[in-house]
Amino acid sequence: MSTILYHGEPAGPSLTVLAALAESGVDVDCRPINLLAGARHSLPDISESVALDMGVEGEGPVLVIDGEALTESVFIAQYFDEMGAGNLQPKDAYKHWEMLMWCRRVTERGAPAAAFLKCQAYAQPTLAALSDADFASITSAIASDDLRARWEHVRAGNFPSEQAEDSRAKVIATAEMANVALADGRDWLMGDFSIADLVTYAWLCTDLVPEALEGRGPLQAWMDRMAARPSVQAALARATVSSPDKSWAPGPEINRWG
Amino acid sequence: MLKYYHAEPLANSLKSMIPLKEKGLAYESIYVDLHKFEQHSDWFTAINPEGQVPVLDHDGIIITHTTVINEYLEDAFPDDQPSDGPLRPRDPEGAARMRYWNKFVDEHVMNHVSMHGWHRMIRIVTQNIEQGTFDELMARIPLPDQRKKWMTARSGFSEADLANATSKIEYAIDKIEKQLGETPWLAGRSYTLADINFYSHCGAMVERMFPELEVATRCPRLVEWRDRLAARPAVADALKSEDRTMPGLRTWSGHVR
Repeated sequence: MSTILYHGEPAGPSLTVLAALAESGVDVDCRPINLLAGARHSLPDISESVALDMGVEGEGPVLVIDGEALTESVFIAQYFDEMGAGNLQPKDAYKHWEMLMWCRRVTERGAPAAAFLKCQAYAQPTLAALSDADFASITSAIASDDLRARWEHVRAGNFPSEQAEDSRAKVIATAEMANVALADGRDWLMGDFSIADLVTYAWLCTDLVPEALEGRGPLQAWMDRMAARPSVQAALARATVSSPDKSWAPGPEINRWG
Repeated sequence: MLKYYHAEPLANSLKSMIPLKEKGLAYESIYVDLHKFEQHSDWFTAINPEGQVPVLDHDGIIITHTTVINEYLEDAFPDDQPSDGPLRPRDPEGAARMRYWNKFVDEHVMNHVSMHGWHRMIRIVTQNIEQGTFDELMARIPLPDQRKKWMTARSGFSEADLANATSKIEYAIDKIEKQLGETPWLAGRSYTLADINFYSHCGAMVERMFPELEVATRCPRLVEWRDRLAARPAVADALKSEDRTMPGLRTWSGHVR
């Protein structure tokens, strides 16, 4: 079986997946790609591309198993855990439900907010500097209309201040949710270490919203524990730039209402 | 002991009812009357503070949000399965594939069909309520985003929003049609929670709700898949579940527009 993990710099969804891989002990062929150059849309030898075409999570890692593309960082992390050490998901059905609910809250509410702010700060200048022709060669390879529109908004600098404020509030809400969970003195969000820790850390790792950490002692201590975790360090060691958290490409967009 | 709090057998309420029946699990069915706003009443918000159906009560433990209710049922009752295989593939690759189809339905299909359903039904229901009574009802809705949705429904969604939702539905049914050309079920060779999800939120009613899309000619494989699903005894049984919708308001199920 051929298994290849294409990943961006260790930030956001790529950080989640690379750290989960290190935790799982699974051996796969890791290949870094430049997400902001649209490399995810021109991967070689993909026979089943439906997950790539959907792009629900936006630009993130892609796991290719015998030509089939699998996406979404939480699901790839679950895959590694289920193939490997099996210690990143609670065995108890209720605790597993709590972890999945947690991951959904982070990926559906916190992640689009963090991605909005990071794209504004880090992706927009790079895309704006591209010639129209170079940008068109990236977007013409994107199958999903939704995702292509997100790239165009980022390049155009379409970041309404109302949405920026809402995004900051949602990042802070995610931080507060984690802080409350940790307030009883537990080391990890679900009690035992899990994918919930990886995904929350990966999206909260930013200096764009410093007030998210201010006055939240349990959260700060947990961020330090996460940074010291060998799997996180192994993921960060794969960085090819000095500040991987500033490498960003268009990410998930909130599509839910109500 | 399982209790399932639900409304009409469509969308979210149908989505977790089908797995209960496919798995042959005995449960107490508790109908929550959305027409009387029971989901926002004190007795119900004491069970689910978010004020939303459905809810699964398993020995007093409350489980919410259909996609993860269905994963919970797989974790808690792994051996209760239909004869043609488990609802969540046992191989990690199959499970991952099922999960991304679920995410696609949850984030790129459900809300768009739902907007049309709300526009056709909830708008009529809410416009028949006097402003003062409506304000009181709104004050009882726990989730702010949900409150906003009710208020928008009363004033009516914009034509642009409805047209955008329709185009997303067209994209989804074309994608499903393409996938069904490759595999008999959404996530591969076996029937999974992903099929149940798309069926409940779109597949079951898309042809009736959107006759102008000419689903039968545009997506013949989807129609064949839908009929194959509806013929499963568990699905047929779920569809017969209680429906108190007034005949004139059966827009959601596509009986009237």
